[in-house]
Amino acid sequence: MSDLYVDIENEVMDALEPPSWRYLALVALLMLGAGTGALVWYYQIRYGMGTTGLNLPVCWGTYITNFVFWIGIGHAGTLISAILYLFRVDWRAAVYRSAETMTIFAVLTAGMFPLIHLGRVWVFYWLLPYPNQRHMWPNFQSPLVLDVLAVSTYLIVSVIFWYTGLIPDLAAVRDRVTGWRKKLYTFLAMGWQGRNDQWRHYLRAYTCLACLATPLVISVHSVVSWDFAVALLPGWHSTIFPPYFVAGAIHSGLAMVITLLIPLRKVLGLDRIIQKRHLTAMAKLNILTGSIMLYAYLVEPFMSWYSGGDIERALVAWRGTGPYAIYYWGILFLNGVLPLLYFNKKLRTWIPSLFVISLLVNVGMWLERYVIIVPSLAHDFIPHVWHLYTPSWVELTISIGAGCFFLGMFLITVRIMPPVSIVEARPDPELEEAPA
Amino acid sequence: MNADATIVADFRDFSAFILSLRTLKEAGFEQFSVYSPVSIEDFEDEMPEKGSTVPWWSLGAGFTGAFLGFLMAVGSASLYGLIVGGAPWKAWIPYCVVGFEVTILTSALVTLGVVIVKSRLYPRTPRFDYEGHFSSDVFGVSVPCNRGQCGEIIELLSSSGASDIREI
Repeated sequence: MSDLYVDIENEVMDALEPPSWRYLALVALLMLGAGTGALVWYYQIRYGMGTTGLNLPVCWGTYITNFVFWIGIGHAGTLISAILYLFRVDWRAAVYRSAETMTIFAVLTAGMFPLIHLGRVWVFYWLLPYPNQRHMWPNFQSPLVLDVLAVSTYLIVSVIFWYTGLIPDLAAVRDRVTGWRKKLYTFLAMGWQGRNDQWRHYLRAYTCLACLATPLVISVHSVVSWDFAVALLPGWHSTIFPPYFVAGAIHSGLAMVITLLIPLRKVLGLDRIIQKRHLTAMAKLNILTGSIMLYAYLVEPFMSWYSGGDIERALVAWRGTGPYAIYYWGILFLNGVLPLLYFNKKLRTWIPSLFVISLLVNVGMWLERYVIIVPSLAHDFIPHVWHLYTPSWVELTISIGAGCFFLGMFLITVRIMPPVSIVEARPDPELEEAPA
Repeated sequence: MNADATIVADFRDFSAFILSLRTLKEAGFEQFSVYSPVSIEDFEDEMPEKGSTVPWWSLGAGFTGAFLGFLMAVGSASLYGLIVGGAPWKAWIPYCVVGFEVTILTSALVTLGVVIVKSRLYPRTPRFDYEGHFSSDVFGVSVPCNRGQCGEIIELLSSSGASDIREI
């Protein structure tokens, strides 16, 4: 076989070598941030939810915004790994592993926020269906309970899919390392040898898992959107929410993959495998999802006007002119208009512009979740309960801590588990031997 | 097959590797193992064994999961009388979500379990005829043989273009 096989393997193996002190310092800093967040969460548990900015009528705020945002971030991993696998998209091989790793930690980060938001986190198990003496089972008609099922299923299936994809790569690493690392990777590779009988079962299983993960891309954020859409609240009670949320999730997830991969490929020396064309391909997908977002943003005010509901119309007008207007117009620009700049080939293929635009799309997508949740609660049916919401330092610190947790765990994992699929990044042997 | 020995051949060239598989089959040797550093998806027809029952297990588990999901939702609604404000106590549309999620979850878990069992994936060291370079850039063919056949197999593999052949 060509030297390319060994080159790819060597580059991925180099990424798994012990990191530099700068890398370790960054991880330590992020873990310090995560630890600070955990301490502040303890403070919130100790002194109660009064330490947050949450109050009536805005009883859902930054925590639920973070939950929806991070769940959305997780969507790109499944899209890239499962859907593009089923369609046999060739550029997927270089980026899917990092995207999957991102998915897992994004969903874990998201999963923390409903628990933080609960206040009395020690009774979270009341949400789980198990026989108990309280005669209190979860109400399976409630979207909040459906959310628990959807998010936990998504996390479990994502982990299974990620790990199944890793097995042949872990075996390749096992065969190159020595000492305690050999023992670790021998355990993790589960006896994989790339034998024909292993491959034939493995490939079917992987395809089945891709088929199972694909509907989850659609279902998870649809279920999350029902948390809002089934409530009779102006700004929430809308049938457009499921597709709007799913498109937004994929939009933010792709942007996050671009944001993470640009520095990662440099730091880990993977720029020969994760090439500019891979980032450009994701930018093209961002044009599609950004266009859907822009369409949804334009349809929303139209629907409120067309519905003839005065309260709905008043809310939409207030969103665009009230104290949250800057966020509203910001999301329209950041999520809808900015990705359209990728139509310009220069901007789509220039790394700095890709990084800046993807970063701004992420900011825009967080704001979008905030604008969906907060102004709708702050400005509902009865004027005398209208009240503005500002997140407290507790909410902001926990949110930043969660972001540090996500990034820190991602950076740790890509140095332990191969950040690129060695097996899939290798060229097809038949094509490789074909005459040029 | 109770073999006296096993012949293991390395192939650095893909077309030589495919030729060896065809040659072995033509000579009547159907029982051999192949080691590949890349997915065999595109050349699975050349393999000594094809197909897998894994998808059937996934499908069966999916149906079971759907049944269990609905059973859990309907069963809990029947046994535990929640106050649902005049809404029907069995609400099929939200129960579809429960059914769907349990379908996917059960099927994924069973698929993982079945592939572990069928591919014998559990923490252990590789088989005796495995070499570390089979996960790198070398294809391997391992043929169990009786004393009288080993020479013929070595000859077949050598004529196909094996880069290295050894008897274990």
